[in-house]
Amino acid sequence: MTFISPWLAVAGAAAMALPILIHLFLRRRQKPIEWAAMELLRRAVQQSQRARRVERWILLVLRCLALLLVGLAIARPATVTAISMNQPVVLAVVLDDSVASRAATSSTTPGQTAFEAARTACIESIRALPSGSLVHMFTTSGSIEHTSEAVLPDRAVAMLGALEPTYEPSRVRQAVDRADDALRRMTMPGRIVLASSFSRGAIDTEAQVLPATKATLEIRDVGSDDTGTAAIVSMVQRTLGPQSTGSITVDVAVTRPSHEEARRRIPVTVTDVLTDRAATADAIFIEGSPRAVATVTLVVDPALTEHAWMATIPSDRQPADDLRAATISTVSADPVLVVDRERLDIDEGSSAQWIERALEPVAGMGLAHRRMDPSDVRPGSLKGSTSIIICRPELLDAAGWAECSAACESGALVVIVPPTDETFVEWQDPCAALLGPGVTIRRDQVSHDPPQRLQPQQPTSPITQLIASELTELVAPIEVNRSVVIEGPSTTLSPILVMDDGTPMMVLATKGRGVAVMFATAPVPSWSTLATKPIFVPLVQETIRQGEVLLDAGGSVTIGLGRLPEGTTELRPIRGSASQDVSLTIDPAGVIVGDEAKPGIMQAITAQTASAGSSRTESLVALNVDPAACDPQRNDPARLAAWLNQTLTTPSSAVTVTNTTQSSTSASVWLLVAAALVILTETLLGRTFSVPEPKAT
Amino acid sequence: MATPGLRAEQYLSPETLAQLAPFELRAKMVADGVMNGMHQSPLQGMAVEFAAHRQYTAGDSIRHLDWKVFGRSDKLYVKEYRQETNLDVMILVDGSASMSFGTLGVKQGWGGTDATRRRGAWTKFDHATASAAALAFLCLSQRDRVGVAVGADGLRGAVRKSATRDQWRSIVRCLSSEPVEARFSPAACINQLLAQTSHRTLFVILSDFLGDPEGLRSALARLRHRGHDAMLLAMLDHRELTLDLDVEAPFIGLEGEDALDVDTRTIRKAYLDELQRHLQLIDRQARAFGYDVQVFDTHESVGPVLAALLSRREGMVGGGRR
Repeated sequence: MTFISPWLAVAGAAAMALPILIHLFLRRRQKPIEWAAMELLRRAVQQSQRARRVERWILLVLRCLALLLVGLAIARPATVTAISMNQPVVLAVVLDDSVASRAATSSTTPGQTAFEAARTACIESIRALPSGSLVHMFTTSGSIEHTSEAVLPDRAVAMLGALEPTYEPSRVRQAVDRADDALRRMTMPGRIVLASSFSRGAIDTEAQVLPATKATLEIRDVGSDDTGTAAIVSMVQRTLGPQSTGSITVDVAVTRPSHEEARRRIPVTVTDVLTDRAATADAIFIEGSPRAVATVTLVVDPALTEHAWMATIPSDRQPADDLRAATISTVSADPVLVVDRERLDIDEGSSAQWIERALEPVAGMGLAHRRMDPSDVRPGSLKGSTSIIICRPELLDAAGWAECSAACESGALVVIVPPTDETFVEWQDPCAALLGPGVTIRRDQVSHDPPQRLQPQQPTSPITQLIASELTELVAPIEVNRSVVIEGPSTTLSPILVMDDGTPMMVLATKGRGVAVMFATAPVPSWSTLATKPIFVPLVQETIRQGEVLLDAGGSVTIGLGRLPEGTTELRPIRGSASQDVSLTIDPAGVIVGDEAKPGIMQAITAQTASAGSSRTESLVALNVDPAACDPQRNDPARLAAWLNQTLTTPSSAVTVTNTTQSSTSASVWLLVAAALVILTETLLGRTFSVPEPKAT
Repeated sequence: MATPGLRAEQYLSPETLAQLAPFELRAKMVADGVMNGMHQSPLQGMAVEFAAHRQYTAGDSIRHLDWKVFGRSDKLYVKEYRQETNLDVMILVDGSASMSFGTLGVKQGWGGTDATRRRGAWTKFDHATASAAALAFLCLSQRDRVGVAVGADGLRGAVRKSATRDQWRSIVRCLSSEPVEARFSPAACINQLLAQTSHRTLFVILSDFLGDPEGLRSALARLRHRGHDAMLLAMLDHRELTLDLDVEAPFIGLEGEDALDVDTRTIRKAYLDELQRHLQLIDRQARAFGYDVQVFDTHESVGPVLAALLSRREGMVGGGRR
């Protein structure tokens, strides 16, 4: 007899000491009490104390016994099943060939990867089989599917020798389930051998892989950090303060499954690829949101006009997850462009000024911005600009609107504010066209008397996700006196803020690779109190920050190995001695052909540029799949075995991990029943022994 | 011992006085007083209150013949009168160590000793002295002669019986003493008091009576033998009466008893049974001699309990006369 969780049995035994300690502690703590009627007390003690002392010890023993039984039941007693060495069996070999198995682990021979060690272990198990045995082969990546029939041991050894580790994540559960299914179809006794390094990367913790047994597996308890499920999805560069300071901030958006902890910090490191400078900041997840942004500030050389950065999650050293975690941005530093006339005295209190104050409430702190006269918006003038705020749409001509629309489609954020002055210029149509097909903006402004307020429950929007928890409070004081009516299909426009009558006060539209946001009211006192309320600064800044996170940077930003830029035919390393002379070819499906992927920053070469013979960098790709650099954390094999035993459906098949154990559920149940009986007995005896309440003399 | 500047009013709360006002302390037995009072005297003939007719016998003074009856019935009857006198009361307060037990906070306006004020607890001794003071005041207001004694293993202080105006102040001084580290011996104290007592006296003994019941019985027998009346006022703390403690701790006696490890939850019932048995024994002993016993809970006011006791005695005496 052994225990699946022996430490729980020890804990149960240790817990037994608790009532004893409490008993002794309470005995010693009491201060002496002065009493006058000592003779009466002495006679009473002589009558009852002796019997009561025996009763108390009985109760104490019962309580200790109950705790011990509960501890033993939770520890799940198991029996070691011995399988006869001479009996032919069907051996289901489950080999971990995931990307994590490429890592060299401390438990294996120096230079040997986890995959090689696992393969060796499998071969040893096969060779130890008695004659007449058969072997089923399975891999955690699903790379081989020999489930239809079992093979002879020699054949299995040959197959194992031909196997290589993959770049696929590990799917232990599915592989073991397949092995279990195969064994159930066999008449001979079955056994499963799962050979794996059991590192965290070797066990996929995604919910869809372990739908019902995640809690049972308790993977998260095994490792010290569960950031392995987080992934970097985008990275946007932003300037902080004047360019001369050389400080640049980078917003890195990180996602993680929604079932993770409500609030959690994940450190994100951004490394300048060319200078090796690095900085780290935390992405703080807010309850209910699977997405968070880490704002990392980097020192850069002001003389350089272009930079390349790589964002990583330092604590996430699992290759299975890192496959999705590399992002690079080559966007050059640019301030937010505010399209309005140059600042004049008569413009005091204009939309542009309120917005500029919100962008940079304190000089040097916030989002850098610069003015651009509407007449200067000409073809090509907005190139390289990521965020454009149009405060005077009525002053844009057709060429200006075309440039804005083109910028938005190519991956820019365009924010539009309605004009505050009465104007006969028809700005509504080009503006609606920029927002998307089917969108209309009514020509007449609507005056609200009494002023419109905003709905307390605002719709969920990616723009307001970080201030969502306070949104009800923030929108409460806003009063809208005038607004324009923006209408359009819900497939094009999604509301960010909505007024009491249901009309949107702020809408979001996706256009091409870019995003357009439009206010239905102007942030000036004559239109609304929006600009004077506490919501305005966070709303404007979040509009820029979150809006840019939503941008699909396309050719300039590439996410990981799985999403190469469209048309990429070749990857050339731009740094890193290990990959200096390696060029990777990409097939039309976007899969790397030939050698395995090398870590580092790659130039992605498109087919067109390659054929023209003038190779140029269309984009940079970060490949940080470096198994040698990994330090996988090991899972507890005993706990894994317990999980596998519990989830398997065939009682006859046992899983061999480090030893063969079969949990005796019935023993646990009987122990719990015994504990319940002891507790019941203790309660009944306690009531029998208890002294009735005295009546006043 | 005496507290300089102690005000007599400290011992009587207005509440207690109000509750006692309707009652008069009457001796159940015929008082043997020397002054005119309201208590029945064994001596007849010299008072104004008519008692009964008796047939004339030779030797009777003809001054008491009832001539009206002779005129109507032609028979000689002598009129008898009942003389009323005052009552002698001696109040004995137990000043032993066990009386220094108390679990109630100090009662404002109820007097109490310096030790009480220092410890902030209202002890059985405090309750006894307050009750004694109330009784003494009542007696003095009826012009009865009253004396007070505080005793433990013997008398520790005493004030002779008197009905003078200064008596109250002397009584208060005597009651201002504190319990001593000794056990209460009712027999020794009663012996000392009897040596100073010539008239029939009502002895009021205020104690917790937690000592040996045999000693108390012998003291009461001696009082009965000398023809005195007695009242036993048992002062017990509320916690002594209920043992409302949930502790397991060593208990230390106030009169030098050895410490005792007690789990009050386990012995509460047995203790209460023992207490009941003890009080019933005291009650049986007292009633065997025709004496009253009243248990006082020190957490409750003196007045109602004392008033109930006096009312009961008044009813018994009044009913007997009618």
